[in-house]
Amino acid sequence: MLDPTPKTAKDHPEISGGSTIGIKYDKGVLLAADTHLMYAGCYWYKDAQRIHKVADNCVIASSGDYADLQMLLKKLKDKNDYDIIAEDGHQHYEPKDYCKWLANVHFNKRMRVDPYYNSHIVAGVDSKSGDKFLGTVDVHGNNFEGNYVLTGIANYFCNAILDGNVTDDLTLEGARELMTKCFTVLYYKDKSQGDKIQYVTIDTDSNVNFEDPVTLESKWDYHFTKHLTNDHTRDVRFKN
Amino acid sequence: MDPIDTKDVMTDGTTLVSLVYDGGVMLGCDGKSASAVLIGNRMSDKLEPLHEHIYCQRTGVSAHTEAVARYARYFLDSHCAETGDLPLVETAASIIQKIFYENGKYLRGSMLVGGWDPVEGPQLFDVNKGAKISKKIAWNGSGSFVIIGYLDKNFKENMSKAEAFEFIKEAISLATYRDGSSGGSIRIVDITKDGRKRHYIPHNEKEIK
Repeated sequence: MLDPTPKTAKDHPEISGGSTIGIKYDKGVLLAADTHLMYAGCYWYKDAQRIHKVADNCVIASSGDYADLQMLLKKLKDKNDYDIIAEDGHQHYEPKDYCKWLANVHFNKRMRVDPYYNSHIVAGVDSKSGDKFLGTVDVHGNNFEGNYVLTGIANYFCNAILDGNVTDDLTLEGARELMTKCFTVLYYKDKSQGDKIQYVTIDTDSNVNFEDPVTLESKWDYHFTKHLTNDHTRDVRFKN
Repeated sequence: MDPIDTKDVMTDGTTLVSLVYDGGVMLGCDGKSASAVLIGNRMSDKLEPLHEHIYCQRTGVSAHTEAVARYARYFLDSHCAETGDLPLVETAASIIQKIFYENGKYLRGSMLVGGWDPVEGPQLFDVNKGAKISKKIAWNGSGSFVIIGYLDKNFKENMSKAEAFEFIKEAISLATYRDGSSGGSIRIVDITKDGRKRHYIPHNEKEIK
């Protein structure tokens, strides 16, 4: 007998984060995300961490609902534990396995009309061959790999900055410069983006380095904003 | 005719804080015009001059409130041509109240009107959805919900000019720190009987960023 009560599912993310970006450089992968979480139109949490380490050679950054992210991280940690126990200390799952698993889970939930409202970036280094891996999974289960990946609103703004500039011989400083340009544009234009960015790098030697958040520089004192105000454009006669 | 309501309209979801101090009126606002997702203008100017000594501040849908301010400016100007004298702040507030009350089905917004007139001195009116209320301190906008407690605790009547400036600067900095629809620089206009003086505080110079 079918259950007559209607099925309901959450239809929007509640506590959500902004966009994240990942870029491959010559000796590894660079990920960045900001530390602000938005809830009910306010910056509710200002020092949240949205990039997490899943295994020794795999890091996940995600934008979207934070509760769904924490539940998925629990499941990923269980997978990592099972992997280490079953292989007697050797790790068998590679970053591309975690990425594929996430894509399958997202697609399954989406087909049941109850999605996880997240877009992820999975980054890491293959422990056997030393290849860099950078992939993205979005809310529907779309799974792409590439030299640079973007989630959220960055898809609309930052493709023009990164396309053609992410080459095989890009250095870490060059990658950081590109990231700073992208995040400055996002900070100026996206409501849910804050100005504190956390960078994470993964080397081809599988060194994962979580850096402290840095504040973006922004320019706010242009001449035209200070002096050309509404007083000049509205038709009111002023004495001075 | 159904009121038109688009889904992702550009609003000045904002923070406005204004107060009457000893000798004048100070109106302060933030600088962000944002829709549901994108920031339209991060350095917008929400202070509109209605007359030489009367300013109004806008919050709500940007297109609606700019049009209302434009009509109010026109009606106030023709009223001054008839009387041949400086207008009262209450006149300006009444004109805006009438426009909002009679077209409330189509308009979404509210205004703070402040200024100096030779009859009553410095005054401040809160024209909120068709109701005009005279106040010593007024706030509006989505960011003002964040700081109502701060304003209740720290406001004193008859502050000096420097105290009032620091008070507004700190209040708006606190609101833009937490509210998602407010941000950017702070604009303050200071109206006394000698005229108006504008101030601009960029985001980098705030103490709470």
